[in-house]
Amino acid sequence: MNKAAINFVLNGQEKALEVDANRRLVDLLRDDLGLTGVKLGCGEGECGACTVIINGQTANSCLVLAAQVDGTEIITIEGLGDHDHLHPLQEAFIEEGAVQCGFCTPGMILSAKALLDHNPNPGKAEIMDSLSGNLCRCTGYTKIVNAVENVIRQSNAKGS
Amino acid sequence: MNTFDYYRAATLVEAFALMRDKTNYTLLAGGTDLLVKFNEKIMNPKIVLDLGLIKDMREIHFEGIGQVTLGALVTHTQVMESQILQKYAPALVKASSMVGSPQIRNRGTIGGNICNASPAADTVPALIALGAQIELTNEKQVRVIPLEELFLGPGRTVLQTGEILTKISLKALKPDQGSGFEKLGKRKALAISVVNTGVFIEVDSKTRAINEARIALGSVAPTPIRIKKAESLLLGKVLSPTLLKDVASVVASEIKPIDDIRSKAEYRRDVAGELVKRAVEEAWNKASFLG
Repeated sequence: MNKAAINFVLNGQEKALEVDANRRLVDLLRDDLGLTGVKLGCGEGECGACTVIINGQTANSCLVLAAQVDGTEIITIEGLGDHDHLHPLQEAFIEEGAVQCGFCTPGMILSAKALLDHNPNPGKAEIMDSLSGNLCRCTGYTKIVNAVENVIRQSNAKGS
Repeated sequence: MNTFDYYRAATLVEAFALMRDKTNYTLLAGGTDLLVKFNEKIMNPKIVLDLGLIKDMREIHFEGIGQVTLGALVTHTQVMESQILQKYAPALVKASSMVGSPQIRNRGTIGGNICNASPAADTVPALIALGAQIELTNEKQVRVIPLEELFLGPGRTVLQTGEILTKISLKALKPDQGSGFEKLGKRKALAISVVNTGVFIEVDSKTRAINEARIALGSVAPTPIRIKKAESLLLGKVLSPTLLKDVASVVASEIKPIDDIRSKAEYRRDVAGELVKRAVEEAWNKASFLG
């Protein structure tokens, strides 16, 4: 088996690595780079727990070879905020109680972020559709959707 | 996942050079189907050839002679956002919008959806209804075939060693033509189709009689299929509830569904007729002179 050279930007930092041809992006991020906010759930693109943003679009990192990300820009949950400066979506998820076990949360927040980056003022149907690739077995989704709506409301209030 | 060698091609020329003298390679586009198969060891390639960087295979063009072309690496998200396809191939836009989830649609490609050759592929019945022709290219030549002639069975196509599906072309819909797509899955997102269908019709603007029709279904046979008997039933007639009912019963009797993990043959027969009814109505309503 050969190795592939990859250069990419991860949460704002340039990375130059050699990866095994059969390494999945999710394993590279979690096991080699220690970004365990990327969760591995089903491993077949059904649950969305491993969601990352690649070039502005969400992707299941379990369905991407590490070798495929050469030349891309990747954002994981670790790239959104830190303990002292949370991203507005992270604040809203806490305030609204949209986190229970927390396993789906990084993926949910990244899917919501990708939506708001493209469309700052989506309706409820668009929010639900953007989260349709992320499963949550705890919350019933209501509080998650509420949290996203709260962020939109707050940013509209700030803007006007 | 088993081990393999990985190569990446930035151009078609590079891809053909990498494929030369090799038979045991697997072509990789978005990876949303293949990675599942690699990971579960359903597929164990020795060589993976990544086409994902070939830029001119990611483009959608309106060719001016009433033709729309899509590179095989166009993603479902690109299809959904394309104003050209929204206007000239709405059934395809609807089909792509119902594939998997946003994450899958961002990476999954039209060419991959076709070449994976799943009987349940969502874009394929829409593309067949829209009269899709595909280009199969090897190092020396290009052959063009109707999409419906690609499939031999589940996962099997006429694509030969050394060939790449490079391009899909459609005739742009005219104002007196309409298209429709319907899918039934177990739920709205991330559902493999129980039955899906794409429909195209052309309506005579004076008599309102149907001039031309194509009805394609997925998940009801070993490959996506056209129901020509149902198509010919529509020809020369104005759409009516009775005609729709007749079309639905011809569809139900012509398909060859099976019982599997997602559904039963009997249920598929019932819903296939109903879905075709809805897709024909959608296509009829979209033929714009009616609006």
